[in-house]
Amino acid sequence: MGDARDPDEFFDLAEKIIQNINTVFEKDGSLDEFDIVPVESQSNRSPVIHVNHKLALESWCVPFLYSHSFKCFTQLLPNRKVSAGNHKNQHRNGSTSVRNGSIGSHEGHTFVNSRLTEGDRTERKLNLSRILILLNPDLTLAWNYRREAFIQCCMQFQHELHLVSLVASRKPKSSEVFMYRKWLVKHILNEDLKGDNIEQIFTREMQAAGKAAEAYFSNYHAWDYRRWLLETFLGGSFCPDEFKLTILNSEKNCSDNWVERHISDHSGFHYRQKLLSQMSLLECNVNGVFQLFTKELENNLSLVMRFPGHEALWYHRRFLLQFLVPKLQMELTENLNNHHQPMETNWECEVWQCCEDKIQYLKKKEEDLVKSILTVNASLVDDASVNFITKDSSNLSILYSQKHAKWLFMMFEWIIDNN
Amino acid sequence: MKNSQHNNHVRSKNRNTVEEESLINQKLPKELLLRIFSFLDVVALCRCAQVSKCWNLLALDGSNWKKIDLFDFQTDIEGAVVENIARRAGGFLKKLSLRGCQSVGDSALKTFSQQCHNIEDLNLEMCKRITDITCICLSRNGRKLQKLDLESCSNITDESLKALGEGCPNLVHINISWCDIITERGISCLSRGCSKLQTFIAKSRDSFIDNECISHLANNCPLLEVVNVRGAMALTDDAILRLAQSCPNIHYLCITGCCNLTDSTLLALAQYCHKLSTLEATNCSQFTDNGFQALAKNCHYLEKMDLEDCVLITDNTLTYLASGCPRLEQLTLSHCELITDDGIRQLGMAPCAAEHLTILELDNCPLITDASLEHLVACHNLQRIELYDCQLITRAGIRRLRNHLPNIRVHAYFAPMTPPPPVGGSRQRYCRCCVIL
Repeated sequence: MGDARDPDEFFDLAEKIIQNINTVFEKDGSLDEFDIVPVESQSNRSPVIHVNHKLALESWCVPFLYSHSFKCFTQLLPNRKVSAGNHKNQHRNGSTSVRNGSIGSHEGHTFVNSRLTEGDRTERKLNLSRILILLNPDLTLAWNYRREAFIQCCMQFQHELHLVSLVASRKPKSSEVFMYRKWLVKHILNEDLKGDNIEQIFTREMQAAGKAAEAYFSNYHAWDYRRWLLETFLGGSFCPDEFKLTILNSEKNCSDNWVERHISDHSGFHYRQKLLSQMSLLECNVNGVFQLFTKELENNLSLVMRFPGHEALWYHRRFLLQFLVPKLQMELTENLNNHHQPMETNWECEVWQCCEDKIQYLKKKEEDLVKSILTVNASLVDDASVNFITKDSSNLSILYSQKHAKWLFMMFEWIIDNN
Repeated sequence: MKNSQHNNHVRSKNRNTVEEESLINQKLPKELLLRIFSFLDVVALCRCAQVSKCWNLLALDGSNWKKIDLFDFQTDIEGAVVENIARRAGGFLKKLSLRGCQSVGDSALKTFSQQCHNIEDLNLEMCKRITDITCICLSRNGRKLQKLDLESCSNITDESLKALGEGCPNLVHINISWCDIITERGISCLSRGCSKLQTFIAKSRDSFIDNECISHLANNCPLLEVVNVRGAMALTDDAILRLAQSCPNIHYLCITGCCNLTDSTLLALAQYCHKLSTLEATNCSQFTDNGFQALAKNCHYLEKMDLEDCVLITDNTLTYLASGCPRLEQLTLSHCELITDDGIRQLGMAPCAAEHLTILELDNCPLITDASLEHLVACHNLQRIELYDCQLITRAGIRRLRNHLPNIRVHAYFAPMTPPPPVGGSRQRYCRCCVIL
């Protein structure tokens, strides 16, 4: 393959590499990682590396392999115009030499496809689409083919999930990966609804989403998938109630852990917010919700104080307040409307007083927070002995707290002195 | 108004008569048209059948439908189509291929066998829905059947073979690859009935073929020429000895995956099967140089040899082959890790090298170096050489070989120099108005 020749010079090579990859998939059912390693082609060695359940391709073969697979794949699809140029002509007179189950190669691209029986075609399309999505997870065409094949029961649910995880191990941030995963899970939930299975599916999917989130900072798609899972399983009738509770608890623990370590990952916080609103649904009165959210506010406060200059924390705080305060206010107005006459019982009075107190308490807290941030950071900014990184974050902190004060005024008309 | 209606009427009448006497029909007698149609393929015939009533009759005449291959339409073919064709073609149909037509079932083939009793060559590969009923019908009606391909028809059992043995005495070619529920009993019935059998193909992964089966074949079918028992792991040397003794005409033998065979097999072949031209023995890892020495000494017509994974063979085997097999065209030595440059040198100097040798597979032979390629420059007919994973081979070595043999296809893991063509078809880069401007 050394010299430049006809455009098909890499044809045999690409077929060989495809064959090698297929062999690896056949041999090893528990591959857990795929990647492309940057290597120049120097020695006469297979670019498919398979070590310890990890699969890798040497980078030099990727452009050739991809364009070859794409060409062959699109030619196999019915009614496609893409690169179907001389397909029809060769369709009739193409000769095959299928030997030992592998596909020989003499004439060019098209012949490989032309004399295959329908079953072989399906298998080849699946193999090609697997390579395509491994190399380029954004190719919806290949994903859609797999969807079609899945509906026609050409492959197993477990195998597909496994492949998706493999793709995600290289590109954790690809949206297609999670769309396909979502599609698969939806499909399987419609079909089999056994208790054990449900728990198994849930934990495995959560793990997969967690892994992807871990692999890429602020991985919106992974967290969104996780949110979808949470809402589907909590909202679905197929899920027993006690399992829903365990879901919530385990997810809360998981999220606590995550938030501690990733203070500026807004996607993670967004998931937490969804989780909190789900949990608040389980609380029977405002008091419970108040307790849940004040605890969260306190956690948030300590994070804000410990890690200055992270906007995600402030946005999370906004969400908490925006969720909690209107709830309290609503309670307040309801009580007022119900009792045009002066309060009679002590207890009702207490409730009313309580809500009012709570709002005042929250307001006071916010005031304290903004003030303390401003004073602490103002002194830091003026201090000449502090390095510029700290100064930067202090400046940011001041900015965010001022913004926060402004937002509080816009939202609740709480006036906080921010000078 | 009335007038125009009248006119229409006249015109349509005219059209009919015009069709009957249109120029081509006038000039050519029907026999000649029929003769012309007999050269057309299925698609063209069906188009012609839509031209006119007269042509419809001619195009669908049975004499045009002697040989039909429906592989290109595999997904569209339903049972009804086959039944229609059978009715149209009747006794004319001699050769039918339904390869890959998965929706064809027993009832269609039943009608077919009743209508087309002159069928000689029937290919049912991958018709997974057919069962023994098909074969029983065939045996009842198709006494002329010579070739039958049942590859991957997984519902076929011993009953089928029994019926074929009773009803198709002229059977010459049978393929029962991947029909995994057949047993030795079926082979026994088949071999007793079809003594003219020349080709017996039964590929599988871990197949039912054992020594018993082979001895039935050896006893009853002395005319065997082509035998493929790929994946018959239970076979031992005795079976091959029996086969070789009673079937001296064998020229093609595939014993890929029969890992219990030893040199005795090769000795038997060398002693009795002098016409052997193709030997596929992938994974027969007990074969050694001794066996091949005998084989090369006696079987001078050997053309293709697949010795992949025969890990014990050394350069000596190549020396014997070089001196004993002047017609050698294809030689596969993949994973034969003991082969060195010296063996290739012997091969390069052999009488077969200059004219016959076309394909040489040396992938995963770690000792091969560029020197081997130098020894091969005299092989003018060499079209393909496999060098995957021969890590001592360099780009420079391949380039030097290419200088001598410009048309050779060299397979190795070296990146091509030309960049790959862009992917995604030719999408227009500019909108139309920009092109116009």
